[in-house]
Amino acid sequence: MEEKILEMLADLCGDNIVKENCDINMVEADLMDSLDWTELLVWVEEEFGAIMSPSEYTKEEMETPNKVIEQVKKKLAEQGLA
Amino acid sequence: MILDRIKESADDAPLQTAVHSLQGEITYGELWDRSDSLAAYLDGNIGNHLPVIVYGHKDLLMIIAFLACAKSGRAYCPVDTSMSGERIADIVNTVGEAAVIITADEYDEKVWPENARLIDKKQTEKICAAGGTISESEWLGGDDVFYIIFTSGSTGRPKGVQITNGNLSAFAEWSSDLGGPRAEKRHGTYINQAPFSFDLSVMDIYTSLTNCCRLWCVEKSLQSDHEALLRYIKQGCPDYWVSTPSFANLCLADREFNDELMPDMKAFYFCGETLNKDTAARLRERFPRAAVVNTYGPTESTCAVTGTVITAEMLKDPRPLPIGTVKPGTGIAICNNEIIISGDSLSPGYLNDPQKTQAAFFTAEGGERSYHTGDAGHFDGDMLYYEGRIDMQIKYHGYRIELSDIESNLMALDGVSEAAVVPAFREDRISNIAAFIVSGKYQDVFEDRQKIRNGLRDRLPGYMVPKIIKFTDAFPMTGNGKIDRKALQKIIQEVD
Repeated sequence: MEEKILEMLADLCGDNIVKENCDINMVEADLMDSLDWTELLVWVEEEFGAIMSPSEYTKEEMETPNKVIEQVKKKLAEQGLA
Repeated sequence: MILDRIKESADDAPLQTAVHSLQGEITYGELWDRSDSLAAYLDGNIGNHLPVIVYGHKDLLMIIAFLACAKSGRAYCPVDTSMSGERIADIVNTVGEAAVIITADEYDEKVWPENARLIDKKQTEKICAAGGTISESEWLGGDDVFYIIFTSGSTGRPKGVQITNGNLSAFAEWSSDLGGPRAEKRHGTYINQAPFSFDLSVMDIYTSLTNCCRLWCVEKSLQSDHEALLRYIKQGCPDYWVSTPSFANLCLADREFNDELMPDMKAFYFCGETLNKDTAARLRERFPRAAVVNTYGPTESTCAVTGTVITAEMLKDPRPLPIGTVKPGTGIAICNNEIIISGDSLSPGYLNDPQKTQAAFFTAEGGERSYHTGDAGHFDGDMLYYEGRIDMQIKYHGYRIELSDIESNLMALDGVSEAAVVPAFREDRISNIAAFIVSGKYQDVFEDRQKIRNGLRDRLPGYMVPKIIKFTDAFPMTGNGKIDRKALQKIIQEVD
């Protein structure tokens, strides 16, 4: 799952740095815009079935690839999908 | 008309070299006599007056055959050896029961349909040497089609653009004085880069032949061997140069490409692609005594209809380089941002394709036959500026984006020599914008990719900043010597 998420992030960012450095701050680096975030959440639902709505999260909670993975895992556990 | 001007060259300087290629050279006298002989053969042996296909690469027989066709009252249609069998079949089918003059040593017989009448190289050489003559009364008239060049239209069947004797004469009349008076050009040497099936070559072939110059043809095989390429160019000691900007960039990559290699250079002429400032500036630096001339025009209006010498002021101006002032005899109007062309070098239309002719050519309000270029542009005074293909505009996240606009902003960044921008697709929708960059300064590391993106963010709205940044040593090129955007797009899709 981690790999899939990183692959998707790299695709959205257009840069493989997110796979090499999972602690990079994607917000500060301007790698993700608001459309990309929406697209990510829609994709997570399609791919893993976890429903994550944009309003649940602050930007800080998802700003690095590792944090995104952590939040997806948390959500999957909450919804009993993990 | 064209043949009259070339005849003057042949009468004035029969012993001067007219065309040089890797396999040898011919004088104006030989060019004239051999094309007479081949014309006599066509006149006596080909029952129809359909266009004649001339197949080969940079063989001397190509130019002989072009003139022979004109002298026998036929149009010629150049087909380069790099063309695919499928494309050749399309061309033959459009032309009809064509005679085909083969000037290449090798050719694939299976490529040619059964109804094509092939005259192979050996036969052609024999015919040229036979000493036949042809009466001037057989020559093409002013309204007759001189050549047909098939454009590489991105979709569907290629279109055969017909250019008349009058169109070509009007063009050569203008190009003779472009970037320097014709009197100075006499007996000079022109570098030819473009294959003859690409209408950029019309600029060097006919400006050279009608001004008694020497045409120095650069074969495609040389493009992959830098050392041999530079040696060959040096040997020609050229005065004038006609190529795509991409080909000049390829040469500029070598430090030796300077005015020690070519001390006589007087002018570089560019057409067929956008000339960027970096290329122009580097040429001026390496060749301080030579002019850099930018020109513009679709195949449908005979090679080029605007031109200008690039000045230091233009290089300093924040805008992209202008494409020039309009040739006398040509009219250019801007309608809904599109460049519309009319005038004496405008093609009568596409060969045997009234539908596509009607779609692109129309009668303007004033009654002038006009052509939709599909190019966006604007005037500043009498100077025309090119804004890219209208179909290079994409819709991304709901915004209308001009890819060439991103390219010119990328090239304005310090350290970026060349840039090409293509859309990246996920399934059938544009998911990202990708930029390919040639740079001596940057490396393919995250920090440098960020520098490019951040540099662009200062100049463009965020949605126009390409997410995918790729550094490359050189761009892939098409057979015509232009940036191969389809190949770039493939690279992006494969990475995905």
